[in-house]
Amino acid sequence: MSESAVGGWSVVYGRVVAARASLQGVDDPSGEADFANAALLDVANILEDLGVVPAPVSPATFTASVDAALAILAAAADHPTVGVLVGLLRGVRAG
Amino acid sequence: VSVMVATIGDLLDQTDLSNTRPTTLDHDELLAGWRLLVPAACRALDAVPLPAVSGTWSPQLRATLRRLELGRLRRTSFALEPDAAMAGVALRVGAVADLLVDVHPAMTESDVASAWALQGRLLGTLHHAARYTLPGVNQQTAGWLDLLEVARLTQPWAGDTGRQPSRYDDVAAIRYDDRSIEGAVQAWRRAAGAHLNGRFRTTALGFQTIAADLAILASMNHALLPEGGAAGEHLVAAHRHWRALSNWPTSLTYPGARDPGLSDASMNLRDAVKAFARRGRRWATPDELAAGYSPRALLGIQRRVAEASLDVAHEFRDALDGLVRGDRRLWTATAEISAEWKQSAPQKYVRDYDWLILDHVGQRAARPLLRQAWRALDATQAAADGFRGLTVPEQTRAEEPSGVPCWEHVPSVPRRRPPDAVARRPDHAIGPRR
Repeated sequence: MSESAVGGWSVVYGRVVAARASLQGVDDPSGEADFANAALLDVANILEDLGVVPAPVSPATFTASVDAALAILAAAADHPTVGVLVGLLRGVRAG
Repeated sequence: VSVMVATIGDLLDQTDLSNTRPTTLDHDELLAGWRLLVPAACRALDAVPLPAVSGTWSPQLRATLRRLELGRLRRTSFALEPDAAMAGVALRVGAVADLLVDVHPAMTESDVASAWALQGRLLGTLHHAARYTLPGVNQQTAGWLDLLEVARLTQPWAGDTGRQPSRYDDVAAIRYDDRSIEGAVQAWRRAAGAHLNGRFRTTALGFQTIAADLAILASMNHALLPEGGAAGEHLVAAHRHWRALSNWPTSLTYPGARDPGLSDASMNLRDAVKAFARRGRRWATPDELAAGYSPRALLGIQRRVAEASLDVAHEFRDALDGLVRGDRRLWTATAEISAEWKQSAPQKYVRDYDWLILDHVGQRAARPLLRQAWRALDATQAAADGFRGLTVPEQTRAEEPSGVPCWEHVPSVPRRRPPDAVARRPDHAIGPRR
């Protein structure tokens, strides 16, 4: 894995952290935010398992953060773990 | 969908011989029943999760029961069949003893009250069994005198008056491979406990995952309540606190991926919750679940979810307390530490380029987290107490399995921390004001 790819994954992790943070203040009686939060923890766990450290990123909305993470991952589609991450994030995005 | 689980409450309901008379008054068959019942009853009474100092039951009763178990019978034939009703009671009381093996010791005052209530039900069972067998036992024998003694010693627990709801009534026999919400919750409870208590398994991600799951369970239990009330308010508070605990500040960590067992259990739990209580992107309503679950079964599930959440909440608080103030310490970002302390930091505290083990000063960063865990535990405890105060009216039981959930409130066991628990609270200086 190249250094730039590692850096890219750190940004992905940062975006995941930002997406989770954006869910904190949400008043959501439907419970969707709780399941999205838990699914993002699954993504974070995979990245943590790979030794990725989250990069600091600017706060953003939930959708913007997840989309940004997906956009970075699309550029590294040849990595075997990317498919799993993209699947999880798309699931989160779709609700 | 139907739920068929045997709870301690169900089993004890089936051991009541107060309105039963022996079909045959056979001295040996009736006393042979006691040979089965005594070891089961002693196991169950010994397994009631009362604190050791207060949990002992009458040594005089134990000695009397032992005499009954070991007493000689007139017939020694291998064909001697114990009385069927007594054998049934012994079987069920033995099952209660087995279920109590997996129960945590009573830690709070309300838990202790529940344990006393359970012990009372077991003693009441013995009382009615003694009265059931007395008419058929020869009065010229030692066995008859021992039965009289058992009936006398257990007399205070003979009636239903004052019977308190007990959290242990809802302890159920759940198969380990049960794929339903019940099985998933119990598997998750074990995995969360292993993560929180395992010296080499704990990670910040694990804590956050468990908190996120607890938030989902609180939200589910709240959504399925047919009306507001005390349990509802506490579930809302618990949900809020657990959700906050699922997102730690970026300045704190205990690095590493979570334990694979916890990952599996967490994902299975969410799948089971979705299958049980989600309808698309929203929670099911109590009315929608009434088609597949009787009010009593639904309340049983909610209670067991509440009790499992409470067990994990206690472990969560204790484990986090250990990471803030114990020999294992959270890591904190160096950016959060004062420049003076950074200069003088002992080398042993330096874990990584940007991370330090919390020292006494650095603990400040983790104190809000610990306070939040106390609040979450308090709300979870209050919610579980609220569920113990809910019962299903008799007329609704008769209508099972259909019908709209219709529960009534009965006075709950007062919730107060025992003095030792108050003393253990670490935050006289740092905790929330109560």
